[in-house]
Formats: sequence, C-alpha cells, structure tokens
Amino acid sequence: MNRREKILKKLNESGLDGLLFASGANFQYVVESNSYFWQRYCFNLDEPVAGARIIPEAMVYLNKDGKSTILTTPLLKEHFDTTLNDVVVSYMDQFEDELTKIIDGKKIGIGRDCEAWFRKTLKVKLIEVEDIFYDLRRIKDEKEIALMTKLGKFTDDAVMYVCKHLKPGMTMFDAERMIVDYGLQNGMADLSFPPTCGFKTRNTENAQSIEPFENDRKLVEGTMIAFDIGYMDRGYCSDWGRTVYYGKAPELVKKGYEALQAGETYMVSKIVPGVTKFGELYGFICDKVEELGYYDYLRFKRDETGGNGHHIGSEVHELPFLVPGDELVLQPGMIFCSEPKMFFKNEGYMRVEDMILVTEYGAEFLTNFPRDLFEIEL
Amino acid sequence: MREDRILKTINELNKKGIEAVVYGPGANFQYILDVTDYWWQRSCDTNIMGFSSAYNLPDALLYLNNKGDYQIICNYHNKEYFTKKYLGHVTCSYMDQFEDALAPFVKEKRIGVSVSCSKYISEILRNINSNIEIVDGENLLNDIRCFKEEDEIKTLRELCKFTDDAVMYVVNNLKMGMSQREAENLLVKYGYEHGVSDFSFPPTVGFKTQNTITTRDVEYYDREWKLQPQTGIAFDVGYMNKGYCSDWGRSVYVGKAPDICKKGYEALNKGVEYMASQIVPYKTNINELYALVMKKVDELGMLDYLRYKDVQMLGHQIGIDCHEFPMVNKDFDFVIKPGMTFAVEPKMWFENEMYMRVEDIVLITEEGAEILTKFPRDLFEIEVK
Repeated sequence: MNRREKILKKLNESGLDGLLFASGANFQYVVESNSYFWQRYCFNLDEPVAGARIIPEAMVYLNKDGKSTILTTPLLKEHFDTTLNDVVVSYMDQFEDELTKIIDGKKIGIGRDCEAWFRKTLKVKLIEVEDIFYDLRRIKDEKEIALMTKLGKFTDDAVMYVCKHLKPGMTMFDAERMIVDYGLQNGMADLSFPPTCGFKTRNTENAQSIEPFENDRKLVEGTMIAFDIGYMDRGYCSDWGRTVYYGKAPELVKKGYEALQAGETYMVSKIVPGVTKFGELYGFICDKVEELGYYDYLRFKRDETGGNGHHIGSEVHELPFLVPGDELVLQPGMIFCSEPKMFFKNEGYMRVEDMILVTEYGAEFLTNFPRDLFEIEL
Repeated sequence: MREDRILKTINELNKKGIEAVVYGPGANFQYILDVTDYWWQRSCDTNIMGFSSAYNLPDALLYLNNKGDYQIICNYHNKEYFTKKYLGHVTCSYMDQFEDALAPFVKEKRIGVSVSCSKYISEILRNINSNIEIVDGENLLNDIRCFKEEDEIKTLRELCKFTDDAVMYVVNNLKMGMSQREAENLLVKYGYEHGVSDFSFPPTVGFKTQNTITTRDVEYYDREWKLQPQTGIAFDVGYMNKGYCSDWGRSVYVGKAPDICKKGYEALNKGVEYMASQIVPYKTNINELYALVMKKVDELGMLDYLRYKDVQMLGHQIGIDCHEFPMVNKDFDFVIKPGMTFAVEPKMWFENEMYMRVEDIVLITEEGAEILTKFPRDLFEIEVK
C-alpha cells in the first residue's frame, strides 16, 4: 500500500467523512510535499499553539474517495504537487468560503495545528485525530528513510566540525553558534530545536547539578561537553547526542562514557522486529550499564519515566515516548531516538543520542559519529 | 537603503524617550525597511485588535536603536528579501535561535515592541535582560507613516484604480439568482487573476432586498441571499498589493430604485465631493470632515438617513495597514497636511429599502484634496440579467 492508500484505509476505519489539516506535520504527510516551510516547534506536542500559526496559510482536505484538495495563498501554491492534489488558490480572508465549498462531509478529522480557527470557522462535527496520524507516520517509507539517513550523517559531520574548532576561552554560546552557522552554510532549512553544547567544568559550581547550563561559561581544560543537536531539512528532523571531554578525562568518566555507549549498542543488538517492545529498550541499556558497574550514574533508573527517547520524523518528537512498559511492538520502518544520560557530580554531565532505524532483521544506527571519540586534545 | 525613514524613526524614539525598537513582521517593520515584497500575514484589525492575525512566532525581526544601529534577524528561507538591500545588517539564523541572534545587539533598557508577535518578543527581551522595560512600539510611527511619499502614493493610486475596475467587473457580471457569496467570490477571482497578492479585509457585496428580512435590520446579512429585483448592493472592498491596502465603497441598485434611495445616494456622493472640495491643507482639521459631509447632506434634505451622526465617524488613514491613525472622526485632533491619504466612508440606511455606502480614498496635495477612487458616482440603477 502506498501512503495515500494507508491514509484512506485509516479514514474509512475511523468512520469519518474526511480529514482536514493545516500547515504542520500531518499536512506535510498527506500532501507529500516537503518544500513548504511551516513553523515548527519542538514542543508542539505539549503546546500545539506555540509554534504553529494561528491562521492557516495552507490546508488540505482529504475525502473518503481519496480526493485531496489543498487550499492555499497565491504565494505558496508552487510548493504543492498537483498530480496528487487539487490546488485551490484564494486569499486568507476568503479561506472560510472556499473551505466550506471543499468540505463534503459532516464528520471530519482534524489535527491540532490551527485547531481554534477550524472550530471557530466550520459548522461540521470536528474530531481530533492526531493519534491516528502518529500511528500512520510512525512507519517511514524509503524516501523518508533516505532523507533521515542523510540528516543523521549531516549532524555527525556538523558536530565533528565543532569538535575540530573548539578553542579555549570560547563560550558555550560561541560553540552553539557554530552549529547554527554550519547549518546555514550548508543549506539546512532549520533546526529541530535550540541546540545545546552543554559545558560542565569539573570541580566548579557549574558541575554541582545538571541544570542549569550557562551560555557565557568559557571552555577550559576539564570541561565535559554534552551535545544535543537537531537539524531540519526537507521536512524531516534529526536529534542527536554525544559527549566529549576537553583535555585528559578522569578514568571514572572515561569508563562511564564507554559504558553509556556500550548500553546503547547492546540495546540495538537486542531488537527483534515484530517481537521487541519499545518499552523494553531502556531496560537493555540499564542491564549493560549495570554489568559495567555504572548504573548509579544513570540519570534515569529502570522504572523512571525520564526523557529516554521518542519516535522522530517530520516532527522531532513523535509518539510514543520511550517509557517503561510501552507496548508498541517495533516494526521495520520505524525510526526512534534513544538518549541515555549520566551525571557525575563535580565532574560533568554526559549524554548519547542516536537515531535508530528498525529494519527487516534488526535495527541500525543512522547516527555514526565515532563512539570512541571522547577526549579532545587542547 | 532608507536612511531617511531610519532617521525619522530615531526622531520619534527620542521624542518618546524610547531607546530602541524590536519589530516583528508588520507595518512598521515594512515601513522602516521599505521591503514590500516580503509577505507577512495581515488582517485589517492587526494594529487595533493585536494578536488576531499575526504569527505566534516571527520569521523575521527588526532591531533599531536611537543611535541608528539596526539589524534584521531572519530565517534561512526568507533571507533573500533582506540581503538584497541590507547586506551587512542581516543575521540569518534559525527560528529557535532568534533570541541568541538578537542578544548581542540589545544594550538598551527601554524598548518598544510591535503588536505582531509581541508576546514572543517581550519574552526574549526579558531573557536577554530582565531589567528591560517593554513599551508599546506599534504606535511609534503613526505620525510619520500618515504622510505618504511619492512611491507610496503611486502604489495607492494604482490600487484605487484596480479596485474601481474590480467592482466594475463584478457589476458587469452579476446575475439574477446569484448569492452574495458568489458575488464576493468574483472579487477573489478578479484579484487573483490579476496577480494581486491579498485582500485588505474580507470583502462585502452586501445584498439587501426591499421589504424583506434583509432590510429590517442594518447589520443583517445573509451571504446565501439571492440576487433579485429591487435589491440594493453595498460594496466594501479592499485589495492589498506591493505592501499597501485599498478600502473602497459604492452602492448600486438592481432595477428601478425608489426616489428616496436615488436622492439619498446622490446626497451621499455630493457630501463626499463637497467635503473634499472644502479641505484647506495646513488649516482644516480631521475632526471637521464629518460635519462637512453632514452639512451638504442636510442641504439636500437627507440628513435623517445618515449614519453615525453621534460619533461623527467618517473614516481612517490608509497605507500599509488598512486602518491607520489618526482616525477620521470628531475625537481626533489633527491638522490635515499634504501627503495624507485617508478613507472616508459615510453611510445611509433606509429601513425596508436598502443600505448604502460610499467609500473613497482622499489624497491631500499642496493645493487641496484629490479623490483617488474614480468609480462613476452616477452609476446607481443597474440592469441585471
């Protein structure tokens, strides 16, 4: 089944007459066009109005017969594929009129982008269907996998660039600006979220707790740098983590980083498509880290609902999150992030984050930044 | 480079004791930079109602201080609009990084912000320095934006002509049985086919038919109402193009109009023409204009039908925003000077008969006033097939 057929199957199962989405991830998914730039926000899941526009400038209606109609402004029409969709052009103030004509059902599924506008504007019954779409979007097709593989590699390269250009005395802000500039110079459309090159310097107040990071903290010998970086391009996001140590690292943290990396690779080796459940994964990491004697340093323990991972695609955080007991069975085509962390009081904070693709036979990393690169020479 | 507009802005900043402004996409942003091809979401009420149509998050920001230092922070996908004119003053960054990109420039403690994205801008300014006092920046340029320059007048003149032609197209293509909605959609079609980028506001081609529910209450419109004989049609239409707005009104009558309506429409138009003829630049005050219309309408015996005699509301300045200040009514004290362009929109109401409106854009010149909207005032009764 191609993407459109899958959506229609879900639509028919749901008992809805049609689907209506404004500028956002579901819109992009339905219209199959990824050159149109919509305002994206990494916390869209929790605060759907925060990043979206209030009034839609592009929307798509898909009816039960599989006919999709995009309604947009003259300015944006070039972005959309007219072989797959009818494109109706109008002015923003007239969208209400045009939309009323386009909608041919009584019970319509909508997303959360511009939801207030839809509810104010339309008289038909509107049902929120974000969940259905998380189910659909969770299995990536070949094109999506290719784009995300490229993004994983791009992020590897970007952080390698930063690692090669670290200089004593530069601030955390300066390092993060390098991430921005690298993206801009290489044509990336956006970031997935504000990047962090988190500095924690040993035996300073700054290393007493995980939060906060200080933007103006200067890089000196004995600083651990925890990267949390994501780029967005052609409609898809990356989310990425590694940690490096500026100078010669104490044995404890060096071994700790090795354990964290070992946990990550062990977890991936345990994935059996069609069998392994998403909620089991963090347990594998814990097993390996424990075996290596570093369990106490893990930021989140086995049964904690911390920020250990999530699915990823056109939004940086897609459902479900990696929490203990999540029943989702991993299937080929899924891409998720796993992001275990460790904290060493007075020493520093470290994180690893990988984008992982579930394949027919197991799982593979889309992020391949060398796991043994830890100490950076001054 | 619009050094002149930047200098004018600095002057206004100094007058009001504001040290800098940070503007999101909107009228002041467009005005200072004179970048008219960058498209921002506008609504006719943005500057009045605040948030209603702005983005939550800006995809471009303008910072300008009272020493004339300025910087544009913009996105990767819209940077071309700004680098053409302002290379060296553009920080291209990502949306999530605007706070960081702006931070190195902001040294001031009292900063004006735009209505567009004001919540976001205020928040990032406070993150940059919690001692920053945030004040209104939206109204900072009202007194300079109300005097239009030659290029702006040229754009407005073209738009008025365009709106004249668009309504003539609608008048020529009305059909019996067509709904008000369909008539309004003819305006969309005409605008779009001629490459105009947006409306100033949702247009009204208001149908009211003699002795029906539609002519019992002046506010009542049914957009599914069908065009039939003895229907008065009141137009309220505005297009936006090259960053500027029009706002336009006339009324027509389908079939043979009752004498009272005919006489009313003539009086309404004469009122506008008389008012315009009486304007003396540097002398006439904006608060006198409604009284001039009223005087002529009274002379012609139609004063009872004129609306808003209590507040003497006649119109508003027009330019980048559809509704700009000063408003044209008895409460705004402002001496009229060359370069002002304002919309005047007197209305009449004939219960059980029709609602009528005329709206013109008036340009003030050194000699007096010129009406930029030229749609024939004697076209009232029309035949429709």
